[in-house]
Amino acid sequence: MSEFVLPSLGADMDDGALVSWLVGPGDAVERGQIVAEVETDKGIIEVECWDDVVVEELLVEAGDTRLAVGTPIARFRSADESGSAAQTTVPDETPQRQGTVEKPAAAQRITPPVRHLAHELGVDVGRVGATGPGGSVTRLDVKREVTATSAPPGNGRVKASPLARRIAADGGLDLALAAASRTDGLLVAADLAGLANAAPGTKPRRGGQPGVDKSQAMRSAIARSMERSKREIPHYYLDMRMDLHRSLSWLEEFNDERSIADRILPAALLLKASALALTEFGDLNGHWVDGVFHHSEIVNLGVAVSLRGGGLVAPAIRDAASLTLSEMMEALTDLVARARAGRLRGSEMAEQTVTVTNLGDRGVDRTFPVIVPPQVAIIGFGRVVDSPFVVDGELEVRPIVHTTLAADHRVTDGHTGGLLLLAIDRLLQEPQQL
Amino acid sequence: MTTDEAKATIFEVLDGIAPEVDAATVEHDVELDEQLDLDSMDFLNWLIGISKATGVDIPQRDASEFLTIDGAAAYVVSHAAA
Amino acid sequence: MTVIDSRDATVTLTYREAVREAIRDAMLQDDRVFLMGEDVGRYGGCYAVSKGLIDEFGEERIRDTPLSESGFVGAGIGAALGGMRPIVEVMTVNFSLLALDQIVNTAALLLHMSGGQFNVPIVIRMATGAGRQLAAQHSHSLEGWYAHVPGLKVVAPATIEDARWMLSTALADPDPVIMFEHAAMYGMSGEMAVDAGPVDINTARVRRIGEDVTIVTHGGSLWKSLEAADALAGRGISAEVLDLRSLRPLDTDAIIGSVAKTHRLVVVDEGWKTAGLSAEIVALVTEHAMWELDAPVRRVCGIEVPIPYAKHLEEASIPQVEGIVAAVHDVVGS
Repeated sequence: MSEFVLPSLGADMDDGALVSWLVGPGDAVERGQIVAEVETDKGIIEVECWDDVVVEELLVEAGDTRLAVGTPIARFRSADESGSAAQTTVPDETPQRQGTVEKPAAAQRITPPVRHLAHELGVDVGRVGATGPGGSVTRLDVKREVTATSAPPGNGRVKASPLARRIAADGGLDLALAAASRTDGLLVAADLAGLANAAPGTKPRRGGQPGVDKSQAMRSAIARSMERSKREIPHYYLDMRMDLHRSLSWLEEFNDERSIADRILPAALLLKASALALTEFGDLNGHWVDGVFHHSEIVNLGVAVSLRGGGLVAPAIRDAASLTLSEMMEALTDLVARARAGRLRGSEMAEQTVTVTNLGDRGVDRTFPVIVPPQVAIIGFGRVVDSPFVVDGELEVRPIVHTTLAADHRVTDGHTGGLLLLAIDRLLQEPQQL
Repeated sequence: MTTDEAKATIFEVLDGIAPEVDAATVEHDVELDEQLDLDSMDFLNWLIGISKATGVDIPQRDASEFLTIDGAAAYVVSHAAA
Repeated sequence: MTVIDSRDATVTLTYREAVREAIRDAMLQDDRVFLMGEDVGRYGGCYAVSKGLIDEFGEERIRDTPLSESGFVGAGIGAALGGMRPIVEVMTVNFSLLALDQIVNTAALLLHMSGGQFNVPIVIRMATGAGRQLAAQHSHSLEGWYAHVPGLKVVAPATIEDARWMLSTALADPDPVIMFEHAAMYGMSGEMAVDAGPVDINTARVRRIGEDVTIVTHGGSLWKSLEAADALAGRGISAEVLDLRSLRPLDTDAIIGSVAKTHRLVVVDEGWKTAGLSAEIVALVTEHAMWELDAPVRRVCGIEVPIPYAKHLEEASIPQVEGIVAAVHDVVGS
């Protein structure tokens, strides 16, 4: 029997609401099967179970209540355990005879009611100074111990109005980061405007619908992540112009031979090349956690997807380096569709080892991307533009893309970053190998 | 298939991709990438959707016909079975 | 004098005239209605509310009573039980304390104690409030006490329209209704729509729409609150003023709805703060709109003293415009 807890579905996720169960007691669950849907600041994420189990009991009802990551939400038993409910043997206790007096511990004379009070108040009886008759511990002794060891009042509590608390809770904001405008130090709703990254000049959202404003929550989540990135990660930037003539010609031929549903976009080529290059340069693929870099063997490629109506998510294409181009295209299409529909899976949101952002379609020449913590690199592609390019000493017009790498200088230096970009370029010159 | 039927289908597919767009505000003879926020994946999905809905295959080299609603409708009408 | 200009949609009259017209109209509509109280007949009412009515309706229907509140309120209850529709006027709420047993132990309870058999369709009008240097025993605001009692309905008309039209609804009610008229408002002049008609006696009204704070008030304090709101608007603070109109039942929906919008509350009540009506309003808000509050609540109430006689002291002892403005500033945090 094991407890299934609410998993972390993203590097900076603290809590989520279990909005629906997809399994019930008695159901058999296969490894990888989706068992529930959890609403986070990034939208609804599907939660997978990674063992073959049978559902014993659901511990939490589906609803809007936010649960902390790690909260037990179900009990499963392994699929090979016996079907009947596990019988726990009741330990054999010798029943107390009526009238038996409980012998107090030799070290401490304390009556049962006082012992019970100590237990209720969380006081360690052994530490209490006894002032009662015969050296026994009195109620007063216990209470004195509580006052002596409890934290001074107000310690750790933020003074905030109920409305401010609600807005902070709904938007995943940290009240400790807000500055009070009132002279009495009480945080009010208006003080949270900065935290929520409101555009300058806009009035902070007040009241109205109680409950979650999803785009606000996502905006706050992005804000927190980007703040952390710029605060903690020393970025360095490298940029390279890459000639996509070979790639695009090859792609045109490839697509010509295929029906529309099997066509591949240039983006898939760029993603594959990036993923392959990263297998050579592992120092750019992994997580920086508590001062240590954890390299990842597999490239789980986070793909930045902008959501219609605002917002951004970067779910992962898992093991991107091992996919064929067609598989990559399929994965990309599926991911974008589900990201926009708000139907991403937990594993996609938590396992990215690196991110690629492609704003070429939007018309920017070059990106200056921001690393998504705890990753250590991000690759950005700009617009493919026919540009002058020198080939074998001759000036030609080629489709050029600016590829930019932003990387964490704690882990790599420009030399490594430069080699990565070279590797991507080389791969894009041999598209048939991708 | 008439032009109106083609346009109706085209807008239906577009609505599935960009639900926030109000069809009434889209100009049929103006290039779509000037009016709408569609990236290359959206565009491809739109072509795939039109192809599926109308049964008209759209080879890569003909994609440039689909820059406007009028262009898209004309292509569909001229290539549709009936 | 009532001025009616046929070109306008409104008529201008005083609060006193509005109440008089209400009584007169009720008596014309229904033979069972009559007025009784100290000095209401020959004297024309100590606030001149019933002036001229005895000439129109005679001394059977405009009845001067002895100086015994307990006696004549009891008689009024008897008349109501006997099928009449009495309007009992008690000169001020201070004197009603002598009739408390009749009101609270009899009128309010008979329906319940008779198992639903005996309604007491009595309307008791009382003047309330301070501001005219009538000293401690004539200046209480005790409507909060009456609002505490199940079996009573309590209203506080603060506008000309409510003074004119709440009475008929109260008379139509089969159960006791206590109507509080702030004594300082009788001379107040205002406009009323010519086609105004009967109003309900169980809802509050937003008298001024605002965004930054809700001022909940009633009776004589309404006008000070509105004046305070004007002053606040000049300083960029938009105050919503909610006139309770009905003190029992309180219009909880209106109170909560307003606070849910503005997120801040100031209660203005001429009665004393301790265990007063203002406390009930704050309790309702913390019970139902806790997560809307963006600031501590403030109450502007009578100071905890018997109302002084000296003018400057009396003024200092009850809510004034400056005090309301200061409370709003406190709550808004500026």
